Amino acid sequence: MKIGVLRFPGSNCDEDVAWAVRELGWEYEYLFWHKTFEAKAFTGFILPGGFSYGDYLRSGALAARTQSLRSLSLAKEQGQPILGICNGFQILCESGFLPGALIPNKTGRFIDRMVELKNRSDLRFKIPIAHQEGRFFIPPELQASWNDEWVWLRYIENPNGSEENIAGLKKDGVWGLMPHPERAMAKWMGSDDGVVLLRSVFEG
Amino acid sequence: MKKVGLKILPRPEVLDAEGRAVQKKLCDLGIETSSVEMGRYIVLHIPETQDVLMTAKNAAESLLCNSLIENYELVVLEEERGS
Repeated sequence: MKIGVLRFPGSNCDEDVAWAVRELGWEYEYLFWHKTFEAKAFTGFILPGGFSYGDYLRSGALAARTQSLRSLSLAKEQGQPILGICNGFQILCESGFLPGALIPNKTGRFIDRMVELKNRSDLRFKIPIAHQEGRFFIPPELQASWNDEWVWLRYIENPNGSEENIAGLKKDGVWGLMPHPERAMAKWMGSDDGVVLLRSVFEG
Repeated sequence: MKKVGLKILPRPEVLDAEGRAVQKKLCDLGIETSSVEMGRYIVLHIPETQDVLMTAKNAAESLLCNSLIENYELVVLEEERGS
């Protein structure tokens, strides 16, 4: 099991994600934004959180338009799982891998705390969030074709005004979530629920 | 050389949290408004050897404006002297 961990200028959760991958007993390799890569060499990919390109223009907008996304596109066609965490989720929405958009939190504040999530089977997870632009938005033109099956995780108590309480999506082998599972890998971190979330993406 | 101004504002369907925060602060300062829209203003300097409006529109639609959440307006500004 080898995970490609994408690195963009300003990504700052790449090392935590790499650490989490090792904790799960998997291998990782860093992949740089400006280069294409051989997707087949990997089991799957993670786009980590942070402030790629300083959140300039829009969060994830510039990162979404780099060479590495071309290789990710091929990976997606080959059915390889791709996971975007926080800024990674924003990059996946900006590049059209996932529908919708992440916009500034309703409260106008950066929110940094543990939240409770639930999946489609009503299983609960305690995972921390740390974001300013985490509000999920479904534009009117997507409402008609919106498929609720794409919703992977919802907030129990919506912290940021996300439509339908959406915290994470899963569509055609591409997964994205605003909370940070790599920060919930052990009891001493406040929760180890990130383990089962990460395993569900890459171990099926 | 032509200057093209690109005004980008959130779509009406998007709750403009930033605009609302700024409006509240203006109110605290004694300045009343019924609403405030926060967006971005970008100026493109484009040589006249290109189709200026097409270049600006291309820039807006491929990067500068995310049409899911924003609208944009293009305005050709005054000409610059020289190149």
